[in-house]
Amino acid sequence: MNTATIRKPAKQAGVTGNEWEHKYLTLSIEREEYAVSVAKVREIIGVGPITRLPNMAAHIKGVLNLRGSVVPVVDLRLKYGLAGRDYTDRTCIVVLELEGRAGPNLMGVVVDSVNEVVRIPPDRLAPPPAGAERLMNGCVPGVANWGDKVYIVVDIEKALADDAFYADAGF
Amino acid sequence: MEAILKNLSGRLNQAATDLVLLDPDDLQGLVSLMDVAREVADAARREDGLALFVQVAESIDAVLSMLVLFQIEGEAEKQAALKLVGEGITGLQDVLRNGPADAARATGMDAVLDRFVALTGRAVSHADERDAEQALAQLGSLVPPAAAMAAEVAPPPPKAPAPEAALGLALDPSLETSLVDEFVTEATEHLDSIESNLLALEEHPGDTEVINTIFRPFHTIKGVSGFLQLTPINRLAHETENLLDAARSGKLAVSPALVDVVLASVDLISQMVAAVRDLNGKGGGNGPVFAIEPLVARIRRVLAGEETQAPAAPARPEAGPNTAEAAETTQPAQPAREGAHARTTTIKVDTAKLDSLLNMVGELVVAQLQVRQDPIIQRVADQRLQRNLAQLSRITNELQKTAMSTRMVPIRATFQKMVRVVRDLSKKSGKAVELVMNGGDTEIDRNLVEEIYEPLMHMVRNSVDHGIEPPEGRPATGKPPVATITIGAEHKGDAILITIADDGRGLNRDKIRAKAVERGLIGPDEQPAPRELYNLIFQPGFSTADKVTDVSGRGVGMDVVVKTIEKVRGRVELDSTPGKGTTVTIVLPLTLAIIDGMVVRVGPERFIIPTLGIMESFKPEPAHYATVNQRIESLKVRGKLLPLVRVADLFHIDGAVRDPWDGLAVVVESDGRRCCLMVDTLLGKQEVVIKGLGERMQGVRGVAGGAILGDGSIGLILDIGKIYRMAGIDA
Repeated sequence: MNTATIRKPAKQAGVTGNEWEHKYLTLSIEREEYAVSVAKVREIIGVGPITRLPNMAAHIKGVLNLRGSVVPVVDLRLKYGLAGRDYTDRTCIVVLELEGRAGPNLMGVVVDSVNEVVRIPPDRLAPPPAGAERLMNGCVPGVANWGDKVYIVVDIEKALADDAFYADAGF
Repeated sequence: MEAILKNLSGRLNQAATDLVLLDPDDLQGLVSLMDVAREVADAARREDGLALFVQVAESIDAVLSMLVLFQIEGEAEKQAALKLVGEGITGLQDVLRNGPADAARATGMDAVLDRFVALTGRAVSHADERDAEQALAQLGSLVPPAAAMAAEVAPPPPKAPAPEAALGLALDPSLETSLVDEFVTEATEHLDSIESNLLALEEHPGDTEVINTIFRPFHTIKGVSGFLQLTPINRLAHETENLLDAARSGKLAVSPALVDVVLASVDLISQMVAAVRDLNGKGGGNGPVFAIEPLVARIRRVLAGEETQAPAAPARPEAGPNTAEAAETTQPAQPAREGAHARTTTIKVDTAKLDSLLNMVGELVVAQLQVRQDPIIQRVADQRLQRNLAQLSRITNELQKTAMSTRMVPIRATFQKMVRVVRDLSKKSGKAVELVMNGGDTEIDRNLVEEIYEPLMHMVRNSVDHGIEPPEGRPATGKPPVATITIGAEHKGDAILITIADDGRGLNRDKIRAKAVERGLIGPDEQPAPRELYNLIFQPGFSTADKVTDVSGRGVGMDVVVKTIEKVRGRVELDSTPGKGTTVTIVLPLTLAIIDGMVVRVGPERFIIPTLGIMESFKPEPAHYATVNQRIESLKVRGKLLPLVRVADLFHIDGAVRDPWDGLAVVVESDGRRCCLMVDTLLGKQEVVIKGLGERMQGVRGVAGGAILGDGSIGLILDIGKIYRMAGIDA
């Protein structure tokens, strides 16, 4: 007897609901491992030329050309108050597809490196340690103990929504 | 009859004179001549035996409309078309003058008519050949020998126009084919969206926004079918709209019967629209008869609340008999539909595809450049390789140019469609209106053209319908009897301004206020500033028109305009002076447009200055440099001191040139003020596509957007107006 495959409607071209459910891309920032939902990730690219945007907060690195599209880039190290670091060939830009008023919004985040894609079922998620909630502005739904690692699950949509992109230089 | 003939003769003489002075590019002239031709045709149609006049006048009208719509290309061709129009007019004049005996003349007219057919590519009128022959024969008895005619020949009473009650679908052959095509395309899209929204309404019967999304397209269909005098469609859409209006304002609950009957109406209108398309393919004429009355009756029953439950089965009973009847008559016409498709020369392309094409072409240009500039490639001293590479680069550049041009079109064509709108409205309302167009060459993104067509039409309609006084009202105000509507387009800074101005009575503040209070938009004691008050009319359901006409006055329109414009990230501004007129300004972003830019370097960074704002650039000399209080810097340019603005300082750029004489001063102008922007050096000129920095980066000050430079990186485009503000010299 043939087994019928059940397909959920695709939310994004080529990605069915089942495929990215509970799947996360893990990335390193200063020896910590963060996990971002794969559904939000468009692609991962190396660091190319970035055009600085004048008078913006330091973590706004600027804009890059992704095959003709202008994509803003945020450095997560700087955003979370860590010391800046020179970009190496391990440094990556994760291009995210965030929700926008007029369709998806592309945004790149600079991370030290990307590691792997893991499936973290909800029952493996523990609430974040006390204090972390406040520190990350409530965008950490939980952490997962994963062998010898701790994955910090980040609601990246929320993490980047509050950004003060406006000029911080006084005018 | 003799009065008619005299009338015709007078009009033809006028047309002949007009024609002498007419230039094929003089749009107003062409249109007014079209008017004359139509009047001649109308007048002749009311009499028996004047079929020849009808035919020739309609042909003249068709040729003129081709000229108006730029369907005739080439100077010689245009002149030839006008010459043919001239021959048609003289021919008719001769027939009138010489009377019927002149058989040679008749054959001459046949030849002229044949040439009209050849040019317009459509059969002459619906009058058949027999008619034309009879016409000439009858003229023998009709045109009396000069002076012999006397009072004894009483003019026959004018025939009443054909009663409208006949609900056969008829398409006026004098309508521009493209106009009808557009209606068909739009209506089909609207009907599709209505259908899917109706299904949503069935699920959420209480959602007024969903009702709005159904109501508005019906309104548009009603309006346009009214213009095109497609009476059955207009009537059915009007009835359905009434029903939806009741539901929208909460007077009627959304019942299964309501959804059902609206669906039936969608079905029937779809069939009628298909019939219109077929008719249009055949050049107009009479189409099949659709039984809309049973459906209208049912709509009224639902409106009266007499019917709330959908009949069990079949799902759409009213549509049943109609479909059967319509199917009979529309079936044979099916093949014609394919014919209509075959002759379309433009296609609608998904803008996402166009965008992606443009992006990929940009990538191709960059990749091609990288290959050519690759050190290894450059070391290869092979002639054939270099020749092939040069060819590749030529092709790529050509491709890029073409791809870019697919996005930009002059706004003229859109403006010209308004000529027709104004013409018809002016006829319908009895108000004499002249349309003046400015800035038709302004290029705008094709995507925007499609978006602004409807808002523009709504605005122009509103101007004629509400803005301009009735003809008897104008003389009292001291204004010329012919009202003027001016539409214009211009680039301004980082925006495109489209203005629609009329010299009518202006907005009635008291009425708007009263309505706003009635609708609870403002408190009874509030006294908003005039501009704020005017902007209230953009609220959904706001209309101060006292009576509901089949064109406007239901308060849809303005909110649709705003919604459409906001969708393309533009905005609508409204200003009005009581008694003087109203000006609506549509401000569209330039983010989609292409500009000419100067690429400059400041320290390690590169920027693009829009060439439009650049007056000149020069290397300053120490003698031209002056400071006030060591801080306010200025440069003397042609004897005038202009403020010096250092881009490096505004944007906090390290490593830029410090002494003005080591750098370059670019004199820019915005809003009539000038200043010198100091940059390190000029890198080149480039045509660039302005791209937005994304909705999260809209607060970047002094930057209008970004553009992909030749090496694939992004250069920021300076916003001169904002730079004035940043530098504090905008006072």
